Amino acid sequence: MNPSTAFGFTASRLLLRVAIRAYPRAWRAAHGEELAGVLLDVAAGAGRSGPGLVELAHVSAHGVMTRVTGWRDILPVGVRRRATTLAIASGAALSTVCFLFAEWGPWLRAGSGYGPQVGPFLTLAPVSYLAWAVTFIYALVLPAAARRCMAVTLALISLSPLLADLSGWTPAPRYLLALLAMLATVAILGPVSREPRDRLEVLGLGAFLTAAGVVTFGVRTGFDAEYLYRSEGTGRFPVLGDTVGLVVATLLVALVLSWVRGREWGGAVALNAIPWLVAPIPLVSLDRLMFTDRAGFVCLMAAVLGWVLHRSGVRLRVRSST
Amino acid sequence: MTNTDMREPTFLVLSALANGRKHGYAVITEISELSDGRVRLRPGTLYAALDRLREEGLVAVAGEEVVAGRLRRYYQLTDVGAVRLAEEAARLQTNARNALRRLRMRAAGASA
Repeated sequence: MNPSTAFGFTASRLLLRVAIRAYPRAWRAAHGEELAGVLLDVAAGAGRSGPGLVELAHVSAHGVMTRVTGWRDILPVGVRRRATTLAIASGAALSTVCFLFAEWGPWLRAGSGYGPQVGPFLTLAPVSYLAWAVTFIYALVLPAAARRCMAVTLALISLSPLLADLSGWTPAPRYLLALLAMLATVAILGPVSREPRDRLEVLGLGAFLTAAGVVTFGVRTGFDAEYLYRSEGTGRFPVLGDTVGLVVATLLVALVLSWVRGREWGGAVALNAIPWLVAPIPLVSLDRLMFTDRAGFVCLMAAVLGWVLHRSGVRLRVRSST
Repeated sequence: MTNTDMREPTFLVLSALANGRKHGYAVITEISELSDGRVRLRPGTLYAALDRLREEGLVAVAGEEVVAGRLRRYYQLTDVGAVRLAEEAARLQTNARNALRRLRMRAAGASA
């Protein structure tokens, strides 16, 4: 059906403008005129004076979808692609460290008394850790499927407390699940880097930084399930007490990478520091001393993080209703 | 090893750009020709694909001009996009070759 026959030439152009307004303002500014031109070219090619209703409806639907995924305007493509890849590596490294030093391993202290064990494991957390490991492998060899795999991992992490409640097994520490869920959220913001060298560099960097950071800070206080898990009952969270140190180290790496490899690399690393910075905040009611000791430092780190992200091209915009 | 199977519209958009930069409408007409009129890409689908392919670094903007008062922006295949298209084409070629060989064997079996 051609609206130009029903409403005339002006109505057809009006409908075209209305359809394109389904897109966010930033998208319209970048592609609106171009899309209008293509729609008019297509109509002219079909011997019509204006685009058909089906085409306009289709364009509107794509516009709405673009609005739904509007966060894409906030993060430059180069930052997003590396940040997602980095988050996958970071979560996989954290999962591996927790698995080896808290869940399973001949070096673990026997009889930790943490709770009813799940087979050879301390808690249900290895389910989430395994999902992270699989996602990491996908990112390595099948990057196009990594995002879907990450979405499944995020679902598993989110359902993990419910699964523990239903089964009666010991749940994974909720603060650790929250940290992994935040990393997973960063990891599904965009597709994994497709360029093999870039992908390998980012995966290697993320895995190394996270594993080295957690192990380095953990060694100071005795590195085992006590350090990684065991504080929910006592109200102390040693591993999260160290996240400020991890964030400082991460931001230093971000600054160095900004200088050596470009601002988008720095932005990607800084974006991955956000979960580590945010993770201790909900625990303020449980471990007020740990939090208040570090509150000023957290604010300073947040400012540095914002500055690195701004330099990398990340822009937070308040959208008008138009 | 290819990353994963590529959907036909994506394959056709990359194929349309393989021999040089093109604007949106030219991509649509090229795809129609490439598929013998079987695939008629709608502008909404085209821009969804172009957004995704630009994000993945497989295509890039390659200039723009105004023709008859309409803005035309040109797109071109990147080096990564060319590799990805070549991988997918090789995969499809292998599949097609294997399928044809088996069909020939089936035909030979039936006639024997």
